[in-house]
Amino acid sequence: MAGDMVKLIKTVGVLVALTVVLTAAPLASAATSTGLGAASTFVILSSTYSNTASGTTLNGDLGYTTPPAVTPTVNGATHQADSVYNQAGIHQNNALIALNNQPCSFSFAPGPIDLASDTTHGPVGVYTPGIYCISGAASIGGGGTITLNGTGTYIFRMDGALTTSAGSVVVLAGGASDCDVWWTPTQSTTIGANSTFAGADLDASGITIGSTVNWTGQALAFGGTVSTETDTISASVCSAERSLPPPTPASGAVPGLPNTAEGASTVNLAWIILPGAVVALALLYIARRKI
Amino acid sequence: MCAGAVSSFFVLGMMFPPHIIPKEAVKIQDSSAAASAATTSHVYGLPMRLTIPKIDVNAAISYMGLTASGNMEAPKTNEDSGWYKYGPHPGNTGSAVIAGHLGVGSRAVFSELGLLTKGDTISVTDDHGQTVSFTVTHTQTYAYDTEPSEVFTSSSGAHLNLITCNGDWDSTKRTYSERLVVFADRV
Repeated sequence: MAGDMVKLIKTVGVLVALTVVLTAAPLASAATSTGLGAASTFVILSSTYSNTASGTTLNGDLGYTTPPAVTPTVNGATHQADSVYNQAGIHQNNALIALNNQPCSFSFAPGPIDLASDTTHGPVGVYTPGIYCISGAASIGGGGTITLNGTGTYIFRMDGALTTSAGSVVVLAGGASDCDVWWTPTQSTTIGANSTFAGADLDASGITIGSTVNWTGQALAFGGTVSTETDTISASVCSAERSLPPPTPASGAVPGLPNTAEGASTVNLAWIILPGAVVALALLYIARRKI
Repeated sequence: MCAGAVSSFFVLGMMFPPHIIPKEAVKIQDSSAAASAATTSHVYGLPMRLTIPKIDVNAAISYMGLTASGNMEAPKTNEDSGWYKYGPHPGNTGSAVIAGHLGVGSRAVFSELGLLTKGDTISVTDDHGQTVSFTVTHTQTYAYDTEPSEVFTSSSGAHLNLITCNGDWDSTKRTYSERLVVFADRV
């Protein structure tokens, strides 16, 4: 009799374990990542990577298809056209799409904008979190400084090139983090010599980095060329994966209709089948005791 | 005897996990909420629960934003309904929108939304326990890729519009060809 009880307990234990495993599986697979994904560890991602002199240090992963003439110091992994590199390129493109879907919080007057001297957005040289849209090229001119002030996301979206002048500086203040700064030019990026830059620049048109630049962030030009020259570029150290803010509707905008075809089911057959088996075993045990 | 009782509780617990609590237990909560609604002001809070007696819906409400492509998000599960969080709270002025899945070969919260007709009742309970009721006025179908402003906006009154899929299944796009919208006005 005691042996039967032990068998029953063992059987129930196995069924419970199976139930837990079977019901937990859909929850685990439901997790998704946002942001740069596989590209998040790369400090430079490019098709052709050009570095012609020694003295460049990259603190993060490096990815390319065509290697540089002079190999920089890489404190990270180097991926040459491998699967990680290709996946990072896909995620770079996905992130750019998501960034471009963010509605503008401030739109400059049409034409090129010097972010260091503009006064239409607010105090000269100072930017609070927001999505700044420029229908033309953008620059940080005259060796000027821009200060990103406050916690939150900064997106600088320009329909044109991004050019920072020699000696220009991007300052992070008031809780601003390079993990939350994004640059999305539609034409090439040029970072001036001896400048300090911050954030992720997603630019498949190519990124040219002048000499002795100190950049905390990422130069992502999958499909384009990245050039460095005795620079120090360090991948952002973020508390979590660099993530994009959720899309929000522009004022008065009407969303498209949702895809209400099918979601994940939280009702698992295991909840029905396995408990049923437990009941059957329990009844069988009771019946045997009566006999 | 004791072991048998424990087994019974265990088995019942396994058969009724929290997301499929027997309806009777939920109805007790609803009746108390309805009582409090009669004594509180009619500024409604965040929606918590959707009930549609005619089609046996009694569902939790999750909060939906936008997808990267600018569409309203859909609930993650077949069982939940999803309220468009950038619109008004159900019961307040404007058009509140709640979406739910139709299901593909399996039952989902809005599998029978198409059975609703003019005069049917829909209720939403908010986070203060207030319950607001709506009466269906009409239904309308739209192509899946449209952005009908009348679903999300209105110039006056308090409305609740429910959305689910309709039409033909497109296995390539992983969606149906149409959306069914049930329009309702606050009672």
